Parts: sequence; C-alpha cells; structure tokens
Amino acid sequence: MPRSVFRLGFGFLMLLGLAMTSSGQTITTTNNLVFGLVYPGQPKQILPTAVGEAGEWLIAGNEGDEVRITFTTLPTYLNLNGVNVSVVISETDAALDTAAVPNQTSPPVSGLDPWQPIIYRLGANGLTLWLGGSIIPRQAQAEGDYSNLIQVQVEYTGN
Amino acid sequence: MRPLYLRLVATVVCAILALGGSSAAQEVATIQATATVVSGLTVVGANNLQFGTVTPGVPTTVDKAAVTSAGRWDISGTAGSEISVTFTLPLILDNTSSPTSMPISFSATDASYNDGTGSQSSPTGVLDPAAPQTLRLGTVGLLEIFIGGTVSPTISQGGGDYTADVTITVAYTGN
Repeated sequence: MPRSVFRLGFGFLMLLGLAMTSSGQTITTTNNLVFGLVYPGQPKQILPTAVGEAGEWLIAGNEGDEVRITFTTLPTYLNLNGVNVSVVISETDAALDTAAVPNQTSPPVSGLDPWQPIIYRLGANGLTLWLGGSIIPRQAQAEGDYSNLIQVQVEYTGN
Repeated sequence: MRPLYLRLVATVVCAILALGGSSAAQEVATIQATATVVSGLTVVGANNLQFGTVTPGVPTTVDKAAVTSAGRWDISGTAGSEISVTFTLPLILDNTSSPTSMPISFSATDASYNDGTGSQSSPTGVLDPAAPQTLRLGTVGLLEIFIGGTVSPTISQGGGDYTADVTITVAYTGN
C-alpha cells in the first residue's frame, strides 16, 4: 500500500477525532414560569430563585465550551382568548449555575439580563438557567388561565 | 482518475465533517409562562344602618347584631382569598332638608363579620371599624360585614331626616 494511503488514513483519524469532540449541545425545558394564582389589581413577582415557579432550562454539552444563550422570545403579556395581562421581564430576571448540583435558591450567577445574549462556559453537567418575571393584572382583569411562550436558543460560540 | 480507496476516504471524511458541522447547530427550547387570574371582588351594600326615630337629647345605639337595623355589606370573590377591609366612617349625619347635623360615633367593637362559619347574631369575629382589617373570604367565597353605631342628638336637635355615607373599601392582598 502506498505511503500516501497511510497519510490519508492518519488525516482521517484526526478529522474523526475532531468530529467526536465537538458533540452538540442540547437544551431541555424543565420548568415553566408559573405565576400561579393572581389577584386582580395585585402585581406578583416570581424570582429566578423560586423553585418550581421560575422558568428553568438545562443545557448540556462539552464541559468548558462557551455557549451563547439568547432568549429569542420573551413575552410582555400573557393571553387568554384575546385578553392580555401585562408581564414584565426585567434586566435582572435571569440566573444560572454550572455546578453539578445546581443551587437555584442561591445561584452563583444572578442578576443576568435576559434581553441580551448571555455568554458562559458549560460545566461538567452543563448549565442550568432560570428566569423570573412579574405579572401586573388590572383591577378588572378577567379571570381565567393566561399563558404565553418563552423561547431560548443556545449555540456554541466556538471559544 | 483517482483510485477507489481515495474516493472512499474522501467520502467518509466529508460525511464526518458534515456530522461535525451539524452538531454545533443552534438548539432551541420553549417553555410556557402561565398565570391563573382569579375572579374579581364584588361588594354590595346590603342593608343600611338605620337608627329609626331618635329623641332629642337621647343617644341611640344600633347593635351590629340587629338584623334589620345594623349596616351590612356582602363581599364575594375567590374562596379562601385574603382581603383588606377599610371603613370610611362619618362623624356626623346631615339633615337632608336643612344645614344641621347630628353626631354619630362607632366603638372599637361596633363591627363584625361572618365568613360562613357564623351568623349576624353569632359572628365569626368582631372588628374595630376605625382600623384597617385583614380578613379571609369563606370557603364559598363570601363574607358578610356588619356594623352598628351610636347617634347622639342634642337636646335641641332639629327635626327631620339625617343621613351620611358609611363606606367600606375591599381589595385582595394577594395572599
């Protein structure tokens, strides 16, 4: 077999190695942002530290790789049959933790602005992201179940 | 023309590169933001506070338990919800046909409430109408508030009908 075949084979293995190390990131939704019972005329805030109430995503991928997290859809209202109730997601309503056992009640990284891309490196178990917000019902807000979507996009930065 | 093994290697490399490229693609995940808005509060003035005929110089008191003459409001909303209740109390009743008035007063036990576990004559609790109150709607979302009071006509009190508004303001506390 000619030597060039061995050189190609080595190149092939190198490329294979590169391809194996760049496994994709995944993002999983683990909790909705739940405002629960809301009283007409009574604003209510859900902090990102509120377990079971704050929105939560789990991002998995290569430890140490940098990812860009973008909230591509952030609501300014929830809706029920064409009726809206105002929602405010503030510039400090996001938090994250890259620890193997994430600490939502006291996250090491908090006060993040969900309106701007968040760039962070994944930990051994990826990264857990939380989002809070406030709801501001009117005094005459119609009763019922309101909802809207929140969408997060994650991608490697290449760094 | 290239040998077959070279073309095979090139094909495999391209396939792996393509896999590697797709693994770095963007990932998107969506959650819902949800809220359940409960029914609004309503309050209805169900019975006026009626002192009836009073005699000049003789104070007259209506007890909060007096079914036909004590004032009463009916509040309805979401069962079990906490509400704030604030009274706006008059100091005088005004004569409806002349510019005269008659003093009215309320004691610290002149109001009471029933959340469905009592009645007007045996209320759930006693309230000081001069102080803001925090109460909870009953299991069927209702609450009755009762109020009594005392008018003190002077010895020379002019005849006629006297009135004033007694108002309560209610709101959910969010708790």
